[in-house]
Amino acid sequence: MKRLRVRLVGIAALALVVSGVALLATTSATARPKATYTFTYANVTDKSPLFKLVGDLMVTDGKKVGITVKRFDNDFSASTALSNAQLMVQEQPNLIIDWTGTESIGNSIGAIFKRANIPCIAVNQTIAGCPYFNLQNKYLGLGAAQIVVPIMKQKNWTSKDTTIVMLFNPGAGAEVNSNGRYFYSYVSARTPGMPKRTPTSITDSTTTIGPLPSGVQINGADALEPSYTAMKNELQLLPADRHLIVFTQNDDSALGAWRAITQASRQKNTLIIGQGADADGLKNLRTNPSWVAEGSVFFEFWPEYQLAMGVSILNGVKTPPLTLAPQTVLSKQTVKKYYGNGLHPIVSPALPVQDRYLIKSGILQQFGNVPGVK
Amino acid sequence: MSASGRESTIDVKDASFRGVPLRRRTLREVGIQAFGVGVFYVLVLIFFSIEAPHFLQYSNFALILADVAVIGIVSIGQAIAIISGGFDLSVSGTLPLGSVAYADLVNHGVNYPLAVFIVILIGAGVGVVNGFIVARLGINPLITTLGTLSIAGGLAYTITNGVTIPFTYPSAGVWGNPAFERVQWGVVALVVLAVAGTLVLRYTVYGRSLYAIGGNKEASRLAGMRVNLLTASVYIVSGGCAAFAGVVIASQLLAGSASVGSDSNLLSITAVILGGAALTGGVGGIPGTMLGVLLLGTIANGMALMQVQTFYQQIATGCVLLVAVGFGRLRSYLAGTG
Amino acid sequence: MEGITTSDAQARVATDSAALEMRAVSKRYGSNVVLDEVTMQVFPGETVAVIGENGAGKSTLAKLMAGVIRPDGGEIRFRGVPVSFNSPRDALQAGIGFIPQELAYFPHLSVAENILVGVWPSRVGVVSHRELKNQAADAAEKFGIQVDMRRTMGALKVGELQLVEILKALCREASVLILDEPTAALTDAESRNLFRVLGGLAERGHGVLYISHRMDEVFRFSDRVDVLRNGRLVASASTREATPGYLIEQMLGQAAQELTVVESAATTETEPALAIRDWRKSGEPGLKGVSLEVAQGEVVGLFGLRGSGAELVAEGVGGLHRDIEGEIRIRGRSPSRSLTSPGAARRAAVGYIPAERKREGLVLSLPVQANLGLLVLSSLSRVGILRSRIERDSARLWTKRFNIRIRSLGQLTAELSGGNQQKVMVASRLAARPVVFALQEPTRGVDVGARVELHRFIRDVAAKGVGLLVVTTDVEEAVMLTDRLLVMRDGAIVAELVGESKTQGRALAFAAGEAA
Repeated sequence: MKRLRVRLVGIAALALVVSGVALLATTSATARPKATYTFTYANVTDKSPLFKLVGDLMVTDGKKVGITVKRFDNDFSASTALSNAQLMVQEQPNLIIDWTGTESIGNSIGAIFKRANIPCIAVNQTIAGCPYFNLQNKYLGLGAAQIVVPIMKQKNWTSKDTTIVMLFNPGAGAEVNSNGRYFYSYVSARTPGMPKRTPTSITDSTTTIGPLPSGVQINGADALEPSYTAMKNELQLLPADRHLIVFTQNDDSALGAWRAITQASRQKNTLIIGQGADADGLKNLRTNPSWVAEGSVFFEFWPEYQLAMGVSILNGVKTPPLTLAPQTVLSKQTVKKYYGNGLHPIVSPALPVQDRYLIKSGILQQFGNVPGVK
Repeated sequence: MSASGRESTIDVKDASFRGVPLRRRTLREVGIQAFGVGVFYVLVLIFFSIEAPHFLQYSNFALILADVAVIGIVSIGQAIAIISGGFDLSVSGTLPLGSVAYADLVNHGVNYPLAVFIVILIGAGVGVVNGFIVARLGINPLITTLGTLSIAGGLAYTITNGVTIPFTYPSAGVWGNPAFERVQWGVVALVVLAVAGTLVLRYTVYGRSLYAIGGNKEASRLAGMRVNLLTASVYIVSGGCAAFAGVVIASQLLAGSASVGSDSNLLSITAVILGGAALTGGVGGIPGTMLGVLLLGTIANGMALMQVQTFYQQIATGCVLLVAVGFGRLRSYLAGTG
Repeated sequence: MEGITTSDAQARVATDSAALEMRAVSKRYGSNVVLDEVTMQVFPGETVAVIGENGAGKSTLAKLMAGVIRPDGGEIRFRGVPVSFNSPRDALQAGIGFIPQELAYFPHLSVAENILVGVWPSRVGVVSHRELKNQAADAAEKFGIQVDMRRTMGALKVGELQLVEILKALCREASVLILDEPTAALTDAESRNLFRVLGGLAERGHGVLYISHRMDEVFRFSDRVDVLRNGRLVASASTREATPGYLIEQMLGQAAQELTVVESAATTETEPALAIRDWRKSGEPGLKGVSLEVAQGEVVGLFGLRGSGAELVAEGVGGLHRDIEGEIRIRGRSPSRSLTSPGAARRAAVGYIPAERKREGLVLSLPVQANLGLLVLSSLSRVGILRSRIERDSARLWTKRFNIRIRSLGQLTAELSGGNQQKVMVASRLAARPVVFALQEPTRGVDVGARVELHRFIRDVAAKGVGLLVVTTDVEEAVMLTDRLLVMRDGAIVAELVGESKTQGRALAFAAGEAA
């Protein structure tokens, strides 16, 4: 009997500890200020520092403009996103912002919001019936190409001695993979002798373009090691004196590819483009002569754009099919303007035309990050 | 002749085991586990009612039920496996495989009931492989089901190329639709399966045989039971349940995904242990398992409502499992078999 | 060679104090008293044999001496100093080496590594194998034990394994060696070698105590014999002065001579319930051409020491062995499918009671009602669904018939006493209505009251025309319960005892290998 009692006490203690821990966690959440609106925001994941930062900023930015944001974590999991959708509806907020992190569940999530009649914003992945906020990969490709073409001319790289290597991720879908294809299309159109292709004609199953080959598409899975391995293998097939232009979809992939290039001692003959503007990408952009472009989508400004978008929707504004995220491809010349000497952006690129409706909401002005917006 | 000259003084009325009349004593032991988890559950409910906003709403409970429908169905199959002395880790692969297969089939126009049937067959197929290896080849269930986990899960990825497959026709997601008053058809399916499972385990020869081989495989063999066949059969049940659970989650998401249910194996085992089973087999039941599933789902729901970070949710789930194991030990200690 | 000459032993007894002494040592398990104030000594240079019937407490005594368990009463003294061992390691450190029946060793390591396990010579943490081999070889030579140091332990035969165990103890400077049934699994030659070694050790001043129930060994290889009966030391005699008859009498006690004569229900008018012809099985233990018949209504006993093969016969009848060659007939007909599985045996109307009810006979986690019906689930059900009322009624019937003491049918079988569990097991097998019933150790671990009842049930079952084959190592039961008693030794039947010649003494004698 004594043992039974001891164990029951132990279990009760355990339960208390658990609840205590949970309580501690919640007391660190912000208290409710006097606010005009309540939004809920489901972040793609809080487990990665970059994405967690976006979530944190959503809450603090919201507070600044008088919007209470209640936060959820989709954890990159479809079933968690589904569950969070229901929970967010239960909160009865004025608006829901949902970055589901999983393609193709938009129909079921959208149905939940529709049934509850709560306005919503879909970030990065589409949700049926919700206005859409996302970057457009096309411009990442085009922007990088615009930087690269003059450099090619300056170095006298021609179609006879240059190969464009596109690292892609078959699982990421057509929109994400379009960036490299737009890149090739633009560069090939402006390089005499290079086989031209439209972006859509390059598909997941395209491996080489042209006899040289002028273009090569390899699967780097948007991750470090697979990109390293894929690049290493590809280098065997390209002669040592070939000029290479390597286009990647994120900085992990870029770093992996760069490692392979360094190991093969081909740095001098290579130009590389990174994406994401994370710490390593920015460092390389600033210091590595071969690293000529770095795509950035200015994640840190997404919250204010989305808050502005939300307020606009609540004000009855009809949104365009896509509200474009702030994005640009940084070059060695422009990195200082946007990022100063640090790792976080200090100013946003100019507001795209389709986003101009956001000005009326008055939100962006309160942050002062977007040039030309008063 | 034995050293039993002394034993004539042993009380043959030992049936009254420490003086407590037996009927009450048996109930007490069997009840300890369910009682323990039940009390814990009530405590949890009270706690969340105070701390979590919106917790005590009908819609929230409907939400919890919908959330646990999937893992609940998996746990039914897992309970059967564990009671018979085995366990099935491969459900974490069969579930996504089922969801992906269902999405693929209905997108190709296969009629929905037929698609469900085919998917269950696929799950049963995985179970046949498991059953054969465990029963005939004698390889232990841990290694076996880990292997089939990788295979089934990998298959799910290859079918989809890593992408989530949305339903072309949303009507295929019938299991996600409300049957009545916000309670989904998936929940109805869970209840039906749970009742069926309970009846089979309690009132059929098959169910009794499962408890027997779980309790003592050798004695069952000597009693003439077809131990190999019985052992293999539970994996077929478990695989079928996991695949059907995949259909339900796909219906809820209106999409088939290879990345769903990755923690369903450990969660279902947790629920079954919470429900009074022992990992060695021979004890346990489905009603208790359902309580375990509810407990896990309620904790997840409550913590999400309290906006607790997902890390703490993981810690909480882990604590609950340890508590469950503790209760299990306590119970076998009291039964004198610990 | 013969054992030590008694004059040497006597001389040592007179001069030295006992190396190991048990003073009024008691041990109980629950209310079961296994050893009751036993006092005995082992002197240096002396070889003592401890004998006694099954359950007399011999193994417990050895384990107490070896520090495996602790006494509940009394005192153990080593070299005159009271000691208390918390573990076998303590005992070994004190100088008592224990060679158990089931040897524990590292099969994948070499002999040398096993001998010196725990004290491998090493330099800077790296084991020096040459040093290891040398040390082990030195020890072997010193004690006159011959074994190849390099061989892997797992490849050795049982006899050699034992010698290695002994060496292991000696290397730790054991001055007293205790061996539990050392020759149970040895061949004649290996036994002789073992005793040669033990004799040599005794000559060097070590004390040796071993447990046995082989008369021939006791008389050839000991100075003194201590007899245990029912947990008490009832006799301690110098071997030279004792006779086998005296020892047996002490082992069994006077009361054993009275036998209740029961009317045999055997009938020879019909086909024998069971007929086995020329059963052979290789291996140790094996069967070397066993043939027997059990008439309907007859209770035939099969008695033999462990390793005699008697249990194989019962298991074979029960369908547990696939590799037994030979014929079997049930009521004059060959069974439609050979008895290679328990299911097949059951379908052939053969019932089998295994020797270990907890491990093999019952599912302890199930309630009593479930265990009672375990073999006949199909007849208690319809279309696969159990008819709980029928199950309960049948269970109630059996419980009453066998006088099983339970509080409720739903009680967990694990909670029943040994006797009641045994009854449940027997009842469950009888529920399948066998015509042949093979039982192993039917009253092992069962209290006196239940034992009497079980014997009566067995007789009742026989009276209904069932042929029973009872395999037991309990000689009293073997004699009392059976119409005919067959004695087995080394895989063959060596004697058939009926009527007046069916006595415990003769059964033991035949089983032990003495012509009588």
